[in-house]
Amino acid sequence: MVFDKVAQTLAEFKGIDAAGIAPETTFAQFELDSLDRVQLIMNLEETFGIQIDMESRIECVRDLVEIVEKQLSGGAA
Amino acid sequence: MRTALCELLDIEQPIFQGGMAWVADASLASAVSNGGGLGIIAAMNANAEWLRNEIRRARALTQKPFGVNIMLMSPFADDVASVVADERVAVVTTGAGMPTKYMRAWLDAGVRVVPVVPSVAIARLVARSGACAVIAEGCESGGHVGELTTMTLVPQVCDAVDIPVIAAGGIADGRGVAAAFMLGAVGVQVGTRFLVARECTIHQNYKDMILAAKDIDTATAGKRLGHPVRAMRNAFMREFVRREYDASISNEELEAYGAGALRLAAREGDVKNGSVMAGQSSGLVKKEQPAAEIIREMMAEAEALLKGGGPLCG
Repeated sequence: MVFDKVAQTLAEFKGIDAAGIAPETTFAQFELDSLDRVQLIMNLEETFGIQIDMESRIECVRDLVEIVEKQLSGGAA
Repeated sequence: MRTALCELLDIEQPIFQGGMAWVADASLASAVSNGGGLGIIAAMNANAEWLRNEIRRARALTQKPFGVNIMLMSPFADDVASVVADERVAVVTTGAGMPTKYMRAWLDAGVRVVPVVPSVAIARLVARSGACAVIAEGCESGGHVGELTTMTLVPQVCDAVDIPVIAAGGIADGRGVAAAFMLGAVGVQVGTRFLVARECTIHQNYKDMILAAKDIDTATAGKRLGHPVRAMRNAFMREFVRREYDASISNEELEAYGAGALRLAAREGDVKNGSVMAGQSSGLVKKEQPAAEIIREMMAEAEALLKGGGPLCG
């Protein structure tokens, strides 16, 4: 399931428990600086074998999951 | 000395002048370009009209290619990004953010895009978005800085991308250039040494402070705001640091305290109450010289060092 893998990647990156991450968890809650944000996107790209457009609107975990699902199904991110 | 970067950008020497706010105007940029390097005009927080005028002024002063640096946190970033495309500037460098939203327009206009990158991930991202080279800038540099040093960042970026890498941060003489090339870079970006170029129009007090600097005279501050800055340790810097560690002062108040401080030092010459941004290499900068002479001296020294490396290997 895409959400579980996204949550796991986020959890590993931040050193937190994946169980605490929900679809509505906002990106602001992860307190990512600009370097972290790009590194996280690159980690997700590696995890799923996709490319994510950095200009995509990503405000919460659900946004990210939708982008990944769209990419995996062959649509543009 | 010619490298792949010279071929790519049609310049004689693989040396960029850093896009320093309130410093890098048409005067300095054209002098560096006339000296064989790539001069760069800093768009800083200026508006489109100011930048267009500086570009036209530079074109009147040099026939050689020059660049524009876009500070992506600028409130006028969209406007000045459009000017770069409209004016078909040879090269645009970017800092303080991700340039991806502007890259299509720049590439379509034939502008070469060379972002400043503080990490491997950002280098990879801009490379795949169409950057023709990247500037890997270590935290020895002046102004906005990242976490990694030039020594560690440059080789890791070189390993990660297949476009030319320009090293920046801490490079102020031929030894730095030679070291950067050994790390895998094919060019260097130099800021601090050009602060004291004769054609640099900053206040003499600023230049004098750099010329008198010792190795330990710079420090970073502003990490709490998410964009730390390296500058000389003067009264302004000490007070900024005091406020940064004062929990009763909000981030907005801290930002407000720093606003206008660089202009105060660079243009008004108040090097006590202004921000004298400069790199750790300030202690290496000993004399005011024409930009062309700085370039010649640095590159000749680097070439001699690189040619003389044999004895180290027995």
